Amino acid sequence: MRRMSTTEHMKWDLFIRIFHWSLVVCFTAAFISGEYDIEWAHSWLGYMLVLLLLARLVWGVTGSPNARFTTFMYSPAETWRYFRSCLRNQPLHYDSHNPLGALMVFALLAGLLLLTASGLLYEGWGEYEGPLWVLNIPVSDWLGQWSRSLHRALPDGLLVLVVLHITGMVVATLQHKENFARAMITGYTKRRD
Amino acid sequence: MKRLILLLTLLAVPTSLLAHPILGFPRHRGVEPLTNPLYSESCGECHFAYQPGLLPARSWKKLMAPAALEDHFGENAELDEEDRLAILKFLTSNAADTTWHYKRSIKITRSLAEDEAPLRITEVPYIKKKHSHIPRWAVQDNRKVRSLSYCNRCHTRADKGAFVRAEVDIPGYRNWADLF
Repeated sequence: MRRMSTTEHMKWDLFIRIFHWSLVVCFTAAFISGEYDIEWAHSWLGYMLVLLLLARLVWGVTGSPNARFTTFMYSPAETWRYFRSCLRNQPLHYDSHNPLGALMVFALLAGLLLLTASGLLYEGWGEYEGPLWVLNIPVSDWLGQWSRSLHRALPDGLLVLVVLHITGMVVATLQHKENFARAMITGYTKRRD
Repeated sequence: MKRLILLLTLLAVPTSLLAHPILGFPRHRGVEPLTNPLYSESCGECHFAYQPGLLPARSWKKLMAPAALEDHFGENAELDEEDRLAILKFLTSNAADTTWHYKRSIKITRSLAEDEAPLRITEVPYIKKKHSHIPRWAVQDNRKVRSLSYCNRCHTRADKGAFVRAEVDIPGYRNWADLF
């Protein structure tokens, strides 16, 4: 029996794909509505981001193997090994995120969690609406001011991360000869056996 | 017909939620624009005619007492009794705490305790917080602004009751959004 040289593998499950693109849409729309001060749209987009992030945290523990946080938590030594393999243009293969991609995923998740948390805190403190205000959770002036500064500063940082994320994806596509963009749409990726 | 009723019901539920005080949002964004020419002329003669939705009725009552008007922030702003009562009525019946359909008025009311009656709009917690991060050089030390009391020097559509950030233009600092 002849074996095919490549096979289709499920890389990203349905949840991950819907999560990824919903995040893209919500973050972009929230960024724009924030920039133009369209408050009602901005707060609802923020709530959607919170729900998406919470769902991702749960899926990171209960989801498919490639989606679990433990799958793509690598030691510094392994990250360094992967980085050097990229410099030699012979990148090591990973089914899930590679170590550098994993760093980006954790950075983006942490940034977005801080962004949404500061948004909720500021909304409850300075805008007198939103979940914290409705639940009557007091926010000190210090925390409120601080949340506002953080909420103003983080989006620009996240934008830099997004650019790095896309750059990394393009570089990895060329180096691994694997179509990562397609994998995030169909879920499947071709892989040499 | 059944389908039409079903469709209308499905549309009615989310639309009614939009008007809900907690789940939805107030229909109008700023504060209600002025509707009373007597007020606009009498008070607007000397200063920006602040919309009544910027303070609660209890504040307006204190401000508009005859004795208070004699010393109106250092100026004599006495009115004849007929005008004073007419303006007081306009202010109290359109005050922030009587407004539920304008977003800023709702927030001003929410930010005040029920017994608080600030005499200055710049002492309302919501307004204070909204302006607390603005550096002195942009307002107090800015010759063309001088004080937060002059709403319309930066809020370009303040006279229409619109105060969104996107319509702020600080004189002398057109790129203020990049500066702080």
